[in-house]
Amino acid sequence: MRHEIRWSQNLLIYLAGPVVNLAAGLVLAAGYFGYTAWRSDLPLGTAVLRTLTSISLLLERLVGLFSSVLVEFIPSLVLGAGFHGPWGIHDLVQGMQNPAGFIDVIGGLLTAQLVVGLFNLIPFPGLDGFGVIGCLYEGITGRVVPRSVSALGQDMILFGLLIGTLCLFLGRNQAIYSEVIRIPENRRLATLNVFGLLVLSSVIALRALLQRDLNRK
Amino acid sequence: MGWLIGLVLGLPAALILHELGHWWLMEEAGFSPARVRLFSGPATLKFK
Repeated sequence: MRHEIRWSQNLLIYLAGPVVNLAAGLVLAAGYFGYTAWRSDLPLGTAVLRTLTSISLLLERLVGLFSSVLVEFIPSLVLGAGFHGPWGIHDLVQGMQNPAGFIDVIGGLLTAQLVVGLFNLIPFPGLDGFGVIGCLYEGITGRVVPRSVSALGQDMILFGLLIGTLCLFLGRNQAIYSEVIRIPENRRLATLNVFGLLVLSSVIALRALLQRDLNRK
Repeated sequence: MGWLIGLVLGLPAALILHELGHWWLMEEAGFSPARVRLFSGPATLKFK
């Protein structure tokens, strides 16, 4: 049974998950940076200012990380290279201060919230970011995103897993990596994206052919 | 080590919090979360 729902309502539902994660991440970040500033015996005003500066710096770097993930997402699916994942955020949190003890646990909790929140915002079929784009598409054009488009996600995830497993066997992607670095640097990312899209579209075409064959039988 | 413990504890907590965020608004919209599979999220609404 299909539940009728307005696109704007659906958009808010999609956004709610990542927003809750990012809000929890911000609260934890306030605790994390606040504690480290307080521990360094600074006057209260300076400690508060340092906490706020650290949080704004973290936000700024997260935006940078997210935009680089957007550009590198398809190459990373195809080649298993370049995607930062939780380690990218780990570096952001750890690289700013150097606390010790239980506060590290808060750093881990904070990282988990940011990873889950940001990952789900990637506009990829199956993730919330794609839902957001789909709702906006519906709002602008008045048409619902076709089912075949969201089915692309399954193909891409399956393909990504296959290639990812293959890359593990190739030994940290050395074989592929040495080929990739031969591409001139200014064209590397664009080339990988085009290559990735070509490979993915051939997988999708193959699936469509198989589907047609199955339907005929 | 502490960071890793935080991450291991934090990932399931973050996922549950994430789904609760969706469910809260789904209930507001009159869509019963009880009918949605865990972790399939609100994608069930339109895209599946």
